Amino acid sequence: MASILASGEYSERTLKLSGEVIARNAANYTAWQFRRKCIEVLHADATPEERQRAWRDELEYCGKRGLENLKNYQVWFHRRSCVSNLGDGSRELAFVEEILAEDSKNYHAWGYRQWVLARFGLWEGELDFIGRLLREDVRNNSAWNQRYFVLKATADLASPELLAAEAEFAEGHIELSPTNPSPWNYLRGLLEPVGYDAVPRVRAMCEERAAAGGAQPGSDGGRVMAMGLLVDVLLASGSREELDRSRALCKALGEMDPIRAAYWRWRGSRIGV
Amino acid sequence: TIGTAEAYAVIERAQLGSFLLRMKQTDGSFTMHDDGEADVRGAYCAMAVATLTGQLEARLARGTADWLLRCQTYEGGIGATPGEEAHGGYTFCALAALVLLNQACRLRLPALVAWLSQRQMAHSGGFQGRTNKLVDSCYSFWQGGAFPLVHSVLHDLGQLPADTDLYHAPGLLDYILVCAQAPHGGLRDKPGKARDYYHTCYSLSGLAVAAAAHQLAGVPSEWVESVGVVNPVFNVLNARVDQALRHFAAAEAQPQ
Repeated sequence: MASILASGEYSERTLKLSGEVIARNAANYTAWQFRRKCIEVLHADATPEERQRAWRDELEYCGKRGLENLKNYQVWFHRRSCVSNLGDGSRELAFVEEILAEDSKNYHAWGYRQWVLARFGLWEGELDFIGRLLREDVRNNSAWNQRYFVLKATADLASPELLAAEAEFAEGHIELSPTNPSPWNYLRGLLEPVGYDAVPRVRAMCEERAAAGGAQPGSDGGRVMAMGLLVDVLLASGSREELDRSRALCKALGEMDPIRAAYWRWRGSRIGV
Repeated sequence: TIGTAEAYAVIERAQLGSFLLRMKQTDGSFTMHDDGEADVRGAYCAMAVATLTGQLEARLARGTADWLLRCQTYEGGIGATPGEEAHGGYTFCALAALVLLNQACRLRLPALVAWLSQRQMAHSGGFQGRTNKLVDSCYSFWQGGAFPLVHSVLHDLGQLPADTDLYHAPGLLDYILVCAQAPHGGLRDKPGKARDYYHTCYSLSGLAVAAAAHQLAGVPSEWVESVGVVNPVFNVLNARVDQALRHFAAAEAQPQ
């Protein structure tokens, strides 16, 4: 690769050679950058159609390397370049879906998907896609993160109707698996900025689950999760009585969630300060 | 050898500084290389390298803290770029970069601490990288090492007493020593995985962080001393960081 660069030769020959380098080390970012430069140089005076065809071929090459190297930064960045040069992201969501079918939490795939959605405005259908993934695995936190991403870009996160609908969506998933942190984190993330009293049923749900009774072998029925969220809800209300209650909850959580004892102790000490 | 004036002299300080400036984007982020991806790793590498070589100046820093803050998610942790899922590796990078920029106090700290705390696994004591993912010894550093950073920010704000750790250091230590060690030396992600240098490095880095923790009972002091005091921003021995800073401060004082 070093000698190719030293030669300054951007040709079909060196493009092919870069492929050999990549075959031996797909993380060689110099080789990938070289390919982009090669294609630009080779088609500098070409017609738009020829340039399109070149980038399409390159996208195909990139796709094959991507399927062989699912967690490689260079392949995903190269894909962005190809798709940007083509100006066409119409097939990209399907490509990412293929990758996610193999690894539903692939960080690069989700990051790339976010880029495609924003770049090409392909928001329609994304909430359905997320819904499908959550039906397969209610614990897929990447899907939950994506949901927030989509709503942040396309909706009003302060709208009472939206908040009520999303709270219901989250609660439905809490019902399916009460100890799953994802919907609890989602609820907190949505409501903390606007105030928990925007959706009063959330507090009611927390009170219910925090009061025990939902426990089963191997699951506390979401009691620890509910108590944790209740601390935040009560803190926001600010009344003396509620602050005392939230302090008591932190104390109890220090015993029920011992790996986080130091955290709960600190949390409790900060209430009303 | 490394860590000497001769070693530092190999570095072309001015060219290094120009390179970092070239990687800086208009939105405040940094690419990893020319025509490469921009994510919080780029900002961290740039800030760390600039700091160590005494070149963290306004031009390089402008807008970077603002961009990093946009990477904090609704979960409280930090993702690779604005919008991406909160993740231990990126959380460490962003937090350390913000510490270097002296702007970590601008993060939503209660949310960050809550997320970090939630990443420690109740049964194994190790850390996971993201919500609902598996434990992995490398997060002993990315997540475990974020705690001393956040402790110092909170302490500076008067919100945390000195000598207080907000994670379970003995639990982390247990995971590293009992689960991450491979039978013939080296450390691994988790039992069942093969040892490798990356996991060896970051398990041991997490071990150094945990060893410096305050509520650690039953650990021999000679052992803690032999590990040495590691600066959690750079993951380099404190003594070496000081040495480098002194060297490049002197270099700056001399006109090129």
